[in-house]
Order: sequence, then structure tokens, then C-alpha cells
Amino acid sequence: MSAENHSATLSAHPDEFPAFDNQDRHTDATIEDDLETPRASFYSEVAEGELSLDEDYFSSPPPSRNAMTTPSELLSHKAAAITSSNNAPQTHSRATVAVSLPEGVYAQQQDAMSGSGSVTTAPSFSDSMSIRSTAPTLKSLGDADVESMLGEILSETESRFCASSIQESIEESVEDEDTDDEIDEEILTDEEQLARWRAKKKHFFILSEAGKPVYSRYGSETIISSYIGVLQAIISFFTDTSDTLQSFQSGSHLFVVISSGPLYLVAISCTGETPAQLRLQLDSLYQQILSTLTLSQLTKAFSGRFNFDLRRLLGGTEVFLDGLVDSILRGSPAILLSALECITLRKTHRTQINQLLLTHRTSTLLYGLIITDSRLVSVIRPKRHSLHPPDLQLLFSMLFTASTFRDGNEHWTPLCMPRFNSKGFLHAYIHFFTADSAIVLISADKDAFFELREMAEKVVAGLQETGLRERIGEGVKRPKPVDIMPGTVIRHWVYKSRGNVQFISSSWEGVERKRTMVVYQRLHAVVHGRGRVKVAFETAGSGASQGVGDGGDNGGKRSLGQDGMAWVGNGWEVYAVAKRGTKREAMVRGVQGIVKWVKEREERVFVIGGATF
Amino acid sequence: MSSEGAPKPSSSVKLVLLGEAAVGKSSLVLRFVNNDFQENKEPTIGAAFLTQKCNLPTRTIKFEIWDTAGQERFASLAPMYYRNAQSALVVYDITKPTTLLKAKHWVAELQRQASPGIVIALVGNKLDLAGPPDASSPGEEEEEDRRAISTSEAKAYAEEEGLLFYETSAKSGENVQAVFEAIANAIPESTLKPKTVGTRQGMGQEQPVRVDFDAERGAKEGCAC
Ligand SMILES: Nc1nc2c(ncn2[C@@H]2O[C@H](COP(=O)(O)OP(=O)(O)O)[C@@H](O)[C@H]2O)c(=O)[nH]1
Ligand SMILES: [Mg+2]
Repeated sequence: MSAENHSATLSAHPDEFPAFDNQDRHTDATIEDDLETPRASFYSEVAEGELSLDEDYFSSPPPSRNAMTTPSELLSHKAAAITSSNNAPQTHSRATVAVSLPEGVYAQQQDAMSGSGSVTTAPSFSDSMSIRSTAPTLKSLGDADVESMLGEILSETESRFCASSIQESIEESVEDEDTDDEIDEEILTDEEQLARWRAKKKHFFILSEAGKPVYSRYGSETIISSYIGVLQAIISFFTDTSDTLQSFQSGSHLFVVISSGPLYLVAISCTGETPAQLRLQLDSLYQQILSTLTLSQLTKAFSGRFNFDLRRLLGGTEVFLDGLVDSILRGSPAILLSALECITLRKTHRTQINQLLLTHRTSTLLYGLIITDSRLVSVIRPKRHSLHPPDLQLLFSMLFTASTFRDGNEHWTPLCMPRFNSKGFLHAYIHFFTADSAIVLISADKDAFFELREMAEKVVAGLQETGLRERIGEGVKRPKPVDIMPGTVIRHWVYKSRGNVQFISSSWEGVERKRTMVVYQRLHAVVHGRGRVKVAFETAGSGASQGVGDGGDNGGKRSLGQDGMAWVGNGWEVYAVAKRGTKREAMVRGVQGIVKWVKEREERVFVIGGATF
Repeated sequence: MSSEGAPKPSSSVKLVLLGEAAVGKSSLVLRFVNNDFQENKEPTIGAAFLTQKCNLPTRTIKFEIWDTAGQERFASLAPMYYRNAQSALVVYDITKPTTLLKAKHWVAELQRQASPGIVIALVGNKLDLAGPPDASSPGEEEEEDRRAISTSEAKAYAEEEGLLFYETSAKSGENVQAVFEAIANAIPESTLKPKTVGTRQGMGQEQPVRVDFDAERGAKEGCAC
């Protein structure tokens, strides 16, 4: 799911689906040889578009009502408690006072800063966002200028900066979520289950327009059904007033809703992500459903049967939604950056693998892929058909987050690749030829199995004979920052090549993944935010990332324990973390080193174009 | 005990497994092919393709097995998997009455749409969940009898439709070999063609053909697969 694609999806009308050989750039970020140039400028256009969505917050509600217990209050309960038990002064602290539902719906909140986070139908800008937008816009500067600017920043005095209450709940979520999934839910009482369910920092719901539950990662049917009902009521209230509800804040919880086809997808999160970031995550869940059903089947299921229970049709594929949600919760650079990860291979080896696929290609083959450890090794495609990274991301997720396909057997399954064609199925031959490596051969012909099976056999034998299988195994290893820059302060980094819609990450070994991903997520929000800043720092304890020029650090806060930096260049962006308190000079040097290192081996770390036939 | 000795005539038989989700189709195949059982198998998506040899006294049958998903969504895709099948296992779960109903639908569909000579076996799985065989004398067994479909009911239906009939447990392995052997024996000699489209020679390294089944498997009749 690229950001590009995401925004296109949001705006697309149900039946305006791009034909694959007649693409609209805005819709399809593709792996193609000829795509480098327009990417950067096009990106910022989209970023702007996204922001207009981001900032559809809602201003203050009418005067207060009597308190009533409703889901949003329940959900915010814990977070509110955390806020109030924290004695540090907080300019932004918010606590939900009441949410009531009788006629119409609104959340009423105390908010020291502004009306941000409350719900009415009148859109206004959120103050918490405007902090970011005050960051000077550096978009007119070229890379060289940015570099020279970095010198200035480094000597700048740091002003104080406020943390929002969301910060505290992020700490909680980062700390507790790894531990609480072990217990078998069935042995718990209803109350215990409910308590555990409420304690989750993030929820995803999918429901039909009629309010029928379609999917929820957590909670039994009885727990979720009442919540689903309320969500549906809230959403349809806004729909009825022809005002589309996109997001609202309640206490420290952000609610984000997307309406896709006949479904509503809802994220409720107190992890500090922006509405745009959450929408990307929701969209990936929606795309997963499409890949199971196709848009045509999904639409048909509800036509004339408003009350249809979609779970009947999804049967068995919940594991893929679960897998996707789990990887989002764990922190997925692929979803955050809307990009694919590849394994590192010498160009000659990658070419040899491509060649193997090309040589044994059968007439009905559409796409041929070798994938290992959720990363792309090699891909071949027809010249006139692009391959869309979001489609591949779905495929990777299905292959690697569930065990269904990973049994060493051969599989033949219908699969919709929504960006390729959301209305029809393709058919995929899937075979894991090692525990971690799969060959996937995709055809539009449902009878192609035996033909593709023979091709797979030859390709796998070829990989074996030529020793390429070992090369693939070696390429899986991600470099540690110190491997490429001895003595560097950088602990972890990710680099995205926008033109290739791919990223490379350093080793996660010894890195606190969730915390690091939260730093990246904040930095990402800043550099993709309204100011379109090109350099941003996240200072441990600041609780918010700042664009260059904001400066600032409010020391003493609980923090993610690491400093972070993002740098956006022409066609690429890089995010890195270092130990808390690292000098900015050192961090900048490290990041420059990464950029240089990647640029010197782009053909190894990225699949440039892929082989075509 | 199979691969050595004089080459016996060998032929491939396409077999498809059909039946409602979670009745144990994949588990039956896993038991037959790998002699293994998994307590919590993830549901099949689309279909899995597996092969397994079965040695009969006079010939070797190589099963090419389509293990299909049973979900509602899958129904419209099923013909793709059963179209050229020479044999089918239609599976239900003896503890769930609705699954026999679904099985009957599949049988009817196969009789209507599949190749005319198709050999169909009706298989009631999860036999391990049933109480002791002489359920007529309830006694004081601690194990709960979860059987919901009687053997006689299913058997009568199978006879009426001319189907092979077995009750199996993928979990214990009971009768699993027997079903496949019965199918292998029931395939008319005349419909057997020597080796085939789906045959794959180079699979050896990842998927050794498993020819070394032995007695401990408990397959009395010994499919000798
Ligand atoms: N007790 C018992 N459980 C079984 C048996 N066969 C399958 N199962 C279980 O039933 C569930 C569904 O099995 P699966 O093979 O995936 O069913 P399929 O959807 O028909 O392929 C799994 O949890 C299996 O472990 C059996 O013979 N006895
Ligand atoms: Mg199955």
C-alpha cells in the first residue's frame, strides 16, 4: 500500500478501476524501469492531498450533556487514568468527560489547547497538528542546501516543546503488548475478557453498512457486537448528514474510519499515529478482503442483501487479516513506508535468477516471483503489465504471516490482486521450496496449474544446481549499522527508494522494534506532514517530532529512549535512530553515511525494474 | 517394500477431496501422505496439491490429490478441481449433522458434473470422538460420545448412491489407509492410463516419495503405500 495508492483508493469511485495497461500514475506506483523521474514531485502533491484529509478534525460540540457510559468512554478510561496520575505539567492533556448518544452523536471533551479531538459536524483544524505545520518548509532546497542547513541546525539553541498526553499511552502500548497475548482467552471470565479487550491499545473493526460485524482482531462476538453497533450508529449519523466521518479524537484515542465499498473499517488507537497512517493500515485490511473476494463478489454479496453476513464468505481467510493486524501492531516498515523490502543480491546473481524464471516461463504465466522471508528476491512480468507493490505486499503478508501455505506442499489458489484488477481472480501457484523461500507463479488461466508446476520444478532445480539457493539464503541477512559504518552512532535505519517503491532496513537484531517503529512513525508524520519538511529530528523525551527549525526538547519526560532522524532527498527518504542524547552532528554523519552506502549499491539492494518479457 | 523388485505397471489417479470446512480433509491427506496429524491446522485456502503412491499387489497407483478448501466462497471454484478427477473423497464430520447434508450436496454435484466413471467414497471423519462401537449398551464410559450421525444412516445413504463408505479418524489414523486403498482398487483397470501430466520427476529432494510405510501404521489391509 503506498501512500500514493492509498489516497487514490480513498477517492476512487467503486467502478473506476484503472485498467492495468493504462495506468494513472496517481493510482499505481509500480515497479517499472521508467519511473524514476516524476516520483518526488508527484509525491508531495499527494502528501498535500492527504493532509487535507488529516486535518478534518472537528471543532467543539454544543455545551455538555450528562455523562453516559459508551464505548468511547470505556475505551478511553484507562488512558485517562494514566493522564491524571501523571503529575508532569501538560499543556495538551485531555480527558474525556462524556460521550452521549441520544439524538445525534458527539464526544465532549476538555481540552486545554483547543477543540481538537471533539466531534461535531463542523470541520476545523487541530491545534496539535499545527505545531507541525509551523515547521519551516524546506521543500525549495535541494539536497546540497539541506546539507548545508544541517550545519546551522546543529548549532541552534533548543527551545522547549510540549508533549501531548498521547505520549504516555504510547509508552504503555510499547511496553505491554508483547506480553499479553499468551493466555488462552477461553479460560477467562467474561469480565476478564472484557478487561483484556479494553486494555488493547489499538483496535481494528470491520463492519458492514448495516452494522454487521465482519472482522475484529480481538474480543469475542458478545464483546464486540455492542461496540460495533455503536460505531455503526456514529458513522451512519454522519453519513445521513452527508458529512463523511473520517476521524475524531476522544481522550487519547483516535478514531479513524474509512468507508470502502459496502464496508466500514475503523481503527481506534492510542499509539500516536496520524489519521493518514491509520488509514493506510485500514486500507491494507480492505485490500486483503478484496484479494479474497474481489470487489465484484464483495459488492454482489451485499446487493439486495443489506444485512448479509460477510463472515460466511471470508471463512478461513481471517488468518490473513490477523497476520496483517499483528504485523501492523508489531510495527511494519512496509506498511508505514508503503514499500516492499528486497533481499540483497549481487546484480549478476539477481540476473541469473531472473534468467532462470524467463527461460522456463510458460505461455500462460503473468508474474513469476521468488520471495524469501517476506522479501522480494526476483520478479518477472510482461512488459505491458506493471506489478503493483501493494498487491505484492498483500501476497507477502499472506505467504508469511499465516502458516497455510508454508507446509512444503504445492498450492493453487484463486487470488485477486486488487491494483491489477479488483474485479477478477488470478490464480497463483505457491510452493515453499525451503522453510523460508517460495516460488509464486501467477496466471490468469485457471487451468495453468500443471504447466506452472512444471515450470516451478525446473526453476527450483535450477536454483539448486547453480548454488543460487545459497546466495538467496545469504542475502537474507540484513547489515548491522556498524557493519557498514564502523563506530557509527546509528542503531537502526530504514531507507526507502521512492522510485522503486522499495525499502531496505538494517538488522533488527538487538533493536527494540516496536519503540523504533514508533519513532519512525512520528518522523514519518512530520516529513509527510503539511510542512513537507525535509529533515526532522525526534528527540527522546520530546514526545513529538519536529521539523528542522522547531528545535526543542522538553527533557525529563518518559521517552522512547532513542533519538531519531529523518531525511528526505530527491526520490528517497531515510529514517534512523540512535542512542538517546546523541549529538546531532554524529547522527547526521551517520545518516549521510547510510545514504551514500545505499546509493553505491542500489542495484544490489533493490530490484530495479524486474525482468520483463 | 515397494520400490524395489520388478517394475509393476504404474498409473496416476486423480483424486479430489470435497466437504465442508473443518471436517478434516487436510488432516486425512496429511495422515495419508506424511503419517502425521496436527491439532490446529489453519484452514486450506484454494487447494493444495499432493501426491502419494499406493502399491497394490498387481500395480502401483500414484494418487494426485487435490485437497480443496470447503468454504462457501469456494463452491463456485470447485469444478476446476474435480473436473478431471477419477476419484473423490467426500468427507463429513460424524459429530456435526450439517456436514453430512453438505456431503450429500457434493455427491449430487459430482454425479451431475464430474467424469461419469468417477469413484466416490463417502467418509465420516473424527471417529475418535465417537464413543465405543457398541454404543447401544451405554455403560459407564468416561469418554463423551460426540457422535451425531449414526453409522447405519450414512451407510444406507452410501449404498443407495453406490458410494464406498468408511468412517475414519485422521487423528488416530484409523481406516485412513483403508479408504485410499479401497479407492485404488475400485478404479476400473480400463480407465488407468500410464503416467501422466502431473507427474514430476525432480521433486525428489524436497518431497521424497514416501514408499516406506510399515506395519506400525496399523493399516491392516496395508495399502503398502
Ligand atoms: N478429533 C479429531 N479432530 C480432527 C480429525 N481430523 C481433523 N481434525 C481437526 O479438525 C480441524 C479441521 O481439520 P482440517 O483437516 O483442517 O479440515 P478441512 O477444513 O476439512 O481440511 C483441525 O483442528 C483438525 O485438527 C479427527 O479425525 N479427529
Ligand atoms: Mg483443509
